[in-house]
Amino acid sequence: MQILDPTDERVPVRRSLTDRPDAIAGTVALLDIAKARGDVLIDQLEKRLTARLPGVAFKHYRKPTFTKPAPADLRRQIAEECGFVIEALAD
Amino acid sequence: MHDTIWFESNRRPAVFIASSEFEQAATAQAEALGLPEVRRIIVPHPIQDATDDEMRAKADAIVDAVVAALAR
Repeated sequence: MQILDPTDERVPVRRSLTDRPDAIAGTVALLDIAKARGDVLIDQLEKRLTARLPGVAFKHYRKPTFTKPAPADLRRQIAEECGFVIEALAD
Repeated sequence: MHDTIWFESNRRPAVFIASSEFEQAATAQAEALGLPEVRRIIVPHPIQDATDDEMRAKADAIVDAVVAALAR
């Protein structure tokens, strides 16, 4: 007989932040998690960051739902197309 | 938060923006996912019934923090 313990005693895998460059360059993803009002904040951030960071491009993406992580193919697409990610807006 | 940490794990500097109502949950999720120092920026509540101008003001207030979160 095998007895299984249903409690979760796992210790989370310890991760680390990736290195930051000296400056933002290339393309930045603006990932909308699809909660109401987040688009207004994201659009204004893009406006301000475009003025602040000449030469940097911004690309918009939107999750299908805020209730779960982004689909794997969307994550991969963003990682292929962008060097940085801004995700908003959890509420 | 899951997405932000996935991007960090894939060498893409990332930052997560949340309202003050979500701050505790964000902290708990970051710890559970093994990256408590994940970059996050908190904007003041409310969100859902904020006007467009109020939402834009929240964005204006965090521009410097966003830049600082993604670069040295």
